[in-house]
Amino acid sequence: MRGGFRQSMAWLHTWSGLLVGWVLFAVFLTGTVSYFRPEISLWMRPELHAARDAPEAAENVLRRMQTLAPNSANWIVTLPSARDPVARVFWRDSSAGGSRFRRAILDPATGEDLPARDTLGGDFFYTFHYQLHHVPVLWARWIISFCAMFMLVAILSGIVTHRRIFADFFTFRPRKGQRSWLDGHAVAAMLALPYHLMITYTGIVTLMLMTMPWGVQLAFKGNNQAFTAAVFGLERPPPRSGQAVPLAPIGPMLAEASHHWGGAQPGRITVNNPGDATATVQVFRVDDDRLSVNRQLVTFNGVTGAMISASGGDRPAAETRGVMVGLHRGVFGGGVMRALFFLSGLMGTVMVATGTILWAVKQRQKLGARAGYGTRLVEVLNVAAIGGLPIAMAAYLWANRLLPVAMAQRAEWEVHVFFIAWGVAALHPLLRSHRRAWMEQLGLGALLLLLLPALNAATTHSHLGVTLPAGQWALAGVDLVALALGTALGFAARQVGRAPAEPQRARRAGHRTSPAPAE
Amino acid sequence: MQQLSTPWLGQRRSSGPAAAALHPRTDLQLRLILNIGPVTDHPLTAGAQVPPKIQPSLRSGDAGRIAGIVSRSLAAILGGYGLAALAAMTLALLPGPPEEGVLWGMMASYAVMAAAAMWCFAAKSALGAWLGILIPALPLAACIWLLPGGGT
Repeated sequence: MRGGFRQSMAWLHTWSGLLVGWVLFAVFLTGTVSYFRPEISLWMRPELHAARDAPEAAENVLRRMQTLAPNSANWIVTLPSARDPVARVFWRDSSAGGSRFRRAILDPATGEDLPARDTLGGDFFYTFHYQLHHVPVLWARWIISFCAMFMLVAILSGIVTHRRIFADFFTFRPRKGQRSWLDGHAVAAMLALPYHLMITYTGIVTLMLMTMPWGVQLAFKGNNQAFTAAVFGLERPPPRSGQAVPLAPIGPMLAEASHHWGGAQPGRITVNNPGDATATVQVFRVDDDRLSVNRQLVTFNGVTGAMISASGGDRPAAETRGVMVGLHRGVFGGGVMRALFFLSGLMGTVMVATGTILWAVKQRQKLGARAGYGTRLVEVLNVAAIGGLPIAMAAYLWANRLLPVAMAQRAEWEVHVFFIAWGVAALHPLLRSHRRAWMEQLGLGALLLLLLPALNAATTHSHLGVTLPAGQWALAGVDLVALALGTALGFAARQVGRAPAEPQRARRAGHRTSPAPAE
Repeated sequence: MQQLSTPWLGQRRSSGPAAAALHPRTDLQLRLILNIGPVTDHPLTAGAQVPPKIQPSLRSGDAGRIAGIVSRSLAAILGGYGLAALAAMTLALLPGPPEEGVLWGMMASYAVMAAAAMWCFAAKSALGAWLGILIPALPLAACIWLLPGGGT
């Protein structure tokens, strides 16, 4: 385009970022909180807070599954872990309707059902960040992939545009209107630039089988199952023989699998054709002890307990994919690593938010009152997305505590509350002046988050007064992060609520001349 | 008569006869009607009060520019995807276990797509954008056609 490479990339950066900015903001924010998906899920099910892992968990759970689903084609058992102290089971059940799967949460100590309130927990944010909600799954994933590709282009062209990155990084000029937004945008982008590139590219890669199937078309004649079987070393279980044979004890199989991995722990068990002569048991290694989440599994004969095969961990491309997905999920490095990823994700969220705000501020500054519908639309969408989504997410957590535990379709209603709150937040800026809309939405978001620990204390027995002394950081963390984010939103609301930019500058200039102790 | 340079006609370095021969009045009228190029520094308006420039919005003079952007966008999105798909298929046919090549191709394809998209907006013209997609696409297509497992 005209005006050289940098100008054309600046143009590309502006438009590739702005056109999908609001979707990207939602993806970044819901994806960022998903680093703490198990913690949020646990927080949202107070009934499980007393559950503890137990040494014989696998035995207890499989014993229970024999009465719960004796004729199922397969059981999928996620064993308890430090982050999630309960066992989660899924099993295939042709009478289950839609999903053909049933699920339960079992007590590791007894194998009995743990009744917990009906909620999607942190899974809602997690699935929202790559397949939205109320949108057909494939459509949604294509939309997210498309937007993520725009994001990748926006980041790359942004690097070209902000070529003086390092110089700009040290020239943050607060409260200078458009200039501050530009600086803030550059700082948020700079601080975690490798993270932004990584998370965008690896995010696209997680959905690549859907968006880039042409290699599979060519080399596997479009047979996705044959391809995934080749990549992951999974084989289709044989059909049931109908001859009932009890399952071999699981303990020795887990021990052998662990030995095969040099002491690493098993995280998941799949039992195919349980109780049948053709039964097989697949033991999967936990994936939070290494960078690559490429699955490593050992398959056993379910009747004799003898090892049949082991796969995973020896193919360069499959491992590369595993590392990419592992980097994206951020489960490999423990709590500190996850916290850093969380902060980087927040930086990305701020980067997208300041980017779209910067566009609107620039337009306003350039055109003033003559700015047209386009500018107004961007301003409304900015408030609706950036101000509204935190309100909706907080409302979802509030609904979790306030909706009656025995309510019918309770999990659905939690999600309804999320979308109702977001919908109202999207209409609200149409009725208010731009500044008022920002103030009110940021303020409400701050209030909902700051009061969340109080609501938690009023409705459960695992509030900060209990969880902090007991060192239950998973639960306390949710309350503490809500407080921190609420404080940040409150601070933002206060900044917006100050006097308009022009008098502000004058007043600050006056401040600077007055001696410091006067403040 | 003073010759006017008309930079808004394009970035052509060589000021050919067409670029330089416009009558000042024609030039000014075009600038005003099409809302392109400065009018304040024009000899016919020098010193005159010029009404504030109105808000830029879609007008007939932008049609070519918009067509260019649409063409580039199509080249970036559709062409970029097509080029990435060709790259993914070429890598899928490399020797070795097929699932490995398929994975390499898939994982690398998005870098190809991003580079192609950037090229489409960095190119001097929309035609250049499309050529930048087509020229690398041809050898990739030939590879897929010729390598065992492709084409036929």
